[in-house]
Formats: sequence, C-alpha cells, structure tokens
Amino acid sequence: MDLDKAAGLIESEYQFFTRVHPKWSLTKGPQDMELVAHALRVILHMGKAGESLPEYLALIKTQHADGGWGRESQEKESAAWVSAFCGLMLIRANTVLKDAEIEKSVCKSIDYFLNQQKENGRWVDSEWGDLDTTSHPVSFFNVVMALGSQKMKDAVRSSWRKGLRFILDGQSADGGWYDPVFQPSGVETTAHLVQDSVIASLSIPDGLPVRPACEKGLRWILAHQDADGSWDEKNEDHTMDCTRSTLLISKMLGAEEKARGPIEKAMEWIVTNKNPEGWPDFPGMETNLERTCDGLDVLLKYQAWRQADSKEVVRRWGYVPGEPTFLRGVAAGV
Amino acid sequence: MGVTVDGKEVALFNVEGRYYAVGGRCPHRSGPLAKGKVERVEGKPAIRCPLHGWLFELETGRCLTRPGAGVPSYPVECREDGVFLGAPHGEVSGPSPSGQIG
Repeated sequence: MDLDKAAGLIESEYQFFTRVHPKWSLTKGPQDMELVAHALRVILHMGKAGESLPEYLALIKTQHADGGWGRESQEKESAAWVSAFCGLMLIRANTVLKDAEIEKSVCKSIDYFLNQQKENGRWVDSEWGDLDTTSHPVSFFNVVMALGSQKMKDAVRSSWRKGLRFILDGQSADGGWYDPVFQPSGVETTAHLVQDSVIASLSIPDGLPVRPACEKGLRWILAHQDADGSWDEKNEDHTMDCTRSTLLISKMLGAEEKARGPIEKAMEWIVTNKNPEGWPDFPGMETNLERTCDGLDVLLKYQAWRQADSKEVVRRWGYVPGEPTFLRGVAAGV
Repeated sequence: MGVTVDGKEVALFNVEGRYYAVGGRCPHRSGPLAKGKVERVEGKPAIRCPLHGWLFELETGRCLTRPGAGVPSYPVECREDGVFLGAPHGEVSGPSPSGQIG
C-alpha cells in the first residue's frame, strides 16, 4: 500500500475519531470499557498520550477496589479480559505520562491478576474462552516485563510464565489455537494468542522458548487467508486481527518477504471495505466505533512495519524495553 | 438474512426449508447474527455469532455457550403473500416487532 494513502486515511479517520469523542471518552460519561480501551490504544499509537492525561485519569477513577474493571464503567463486578486491556493501556501510556497515580493503578491491576489466576495458569472470564481470556493478562504481563519497574517484574514473573505455558500447551499440532466452545474456526483465537501472548518472549529476557510456536502460528494464519485478502469470510475484526498478527510475527521472525504479499492483500481489502467514515463488522454494514479503532490501529502498525527499524512495529505492542517512540512523523517519513 | 421489523433487527434463517427468526444482535458484543454460521447441536439448528462465537439455539434463542443469556426468538409463518413474524419469545419488555417481512 502506498504510504501516502495510508497517512491520508489515518488523518481523516483520526478526525472522525476525535469528532465522536463523547461516544468513547470516560470524561464525558459512562462507557463500554472495551471501547474505551480500544480508543486509548488509538491515542497511544497516534502519539497523543502525552496530551491526553484526563482520559487516563478518568480510567483510573473507574478501577475497582480489587484492581479490575467492569465491562461497563458503572458495572461493579470486575472482568478479566477488559481489565487486562485497561491495565495494558495504563502501563504503556505511563511511559510517556510518568504519572504517580497511574503507576499505583498499574500496581493494583497487577495484584488483581495475581489474585485471579487459576492453579493451571489460566484466567477465566464468563464472556470469553479460557485461551483468549488468558492471552490478555499474559499480554499485560509481557509489557510489565518489558516496561515495568524491577519490583513489578519480580511480582509477575512466575505468574506470567505459568500463563504463557498454559497458552503454549494449548496450541494444536497444526499451529492454530482453537476454542471448541467460542471459536471452533480458531482464526481469531490464533491471531490474538500469537501476537498478544507468545511472540513477546522473543524480545523479553526470561521468556520461554517460543520461536517454533510462532513459526507454526504464522504459517497457520497465512494458510487461512481467503483469496480476496480477508479472513473468516470477510469478517473485518478477524481480518484486522490476523493482519496485525502477521505484521508483528513476520517482523520478529525475520519473515517479512514471505508475509509481504498476504499483508499487502489484506491491507488493500481493509481499506477497500471501509465506510466513508469508519469500519463496519462486515462490508456493507454500519460503522462500528470499536472496529474503527481497530482499523486505525492496523494502519498505524502497517506504517511502523514499513519502517527500516525492525523494532518500530514491535514498539506498537510495548514489547521493547526503553522509551517508546510512537511518533507518527517518524513512521510516516519513510 | 438480516431484516428490520418495526425498527428491530431480526436475523432470519431458512434451514432445510424451515424458517427461524431471532434477534439480530448478539448480547455479547452486538455481533450481527445474520452473518453467522448455522450449526447443528444435538440435532437442533443453532446460529454462531461471527464475532466471538456465542451460540444460540434458533428455535428458542437460548444461548448454548453462556447460560442465562439469549436473544428473542420469533414464531415464523410462511404464507403465499409473504413471511410473517409473531410476537417474540424470550423478551419481557419492549414493543412487539410482529410484522410482515416480504
């Protein structure tokens, strides 16, 4: 994809995203927390976290005493999947914001997951399969291991490795991860697990040996792409998941050449099958704001994937220790 | 297929000649059930949400993957002049979306 075209789309979609601010911002009232987390990821990857402190402070205000978050901002019961997404957004944003209250909130979030983990390493959430649920705290802990303080790292290390082991043990011989109850096709689960949980160990000290699992996972994802470039029968969400996963895995495994064709085809499908403003769940449907956040995220990660610096795309997952760049100017300038 | 009846989204299915109609959106993350795949569970047809795999029995709207959850199900009548939906089961409030589809 032409990088100017990608940059133009990012610009126009970000304008749309900011115009609908009241629909996703906790500073404006109660919200769906998954949407909030998706929106905060856009802010982060657009390089806007430094000027968005009120959004993150509002997130802290909705954190429960146990350290988790509810599916809705007013819901009293914490849920693992969305709590991990929120904790992840806070620790990543705080590499820019360096706010003491956010740091405390991240520590509370860590405690929540340490307390909720089951004996065999998994986490549970009634709305998601165990593999998908577990991938999110592991993803959060990946980033704690990459960006957190030494105290945080020491706190999560054992739990993180147990969670990762649960996921590695769940990989099928063909390279995919399947959830017989929630995701028999395995497309979304595989795309989530390999990018959110498994691959990070390649760049984090103390990780488990994961290269063979990632190679098999990438092969599985590429083998399941449809001829038109999409995945899972034109499912925009799953196509975006698989595309992002391929961007990251291919770069970290040094398999860009093998993945270039499928990535370009997927990106073309994603930008062709959007609405004038935003993205739908399936082509032809109305715009879904959460999907729009995903669409922006894919474009931003694709920009980073095109960078000569092979770590630039990995930084978009928070797996690289040290200061993040998240500067769009850098990404767009190559 | 997805249709709108009295302002409500409904997912309509023809499974081997028999019609089923259920609420159009999954209660989990509002996935469009009309885009899901029909499966057989213990011989009965069920629809799997295309977003995150929640499974609903087509006859009753009962969620088979999360106890207690569900979508409204509508009695369907096929006549020469069109397909008609009755008042929904599994919904305790709200206006009746009964009406003709086509």
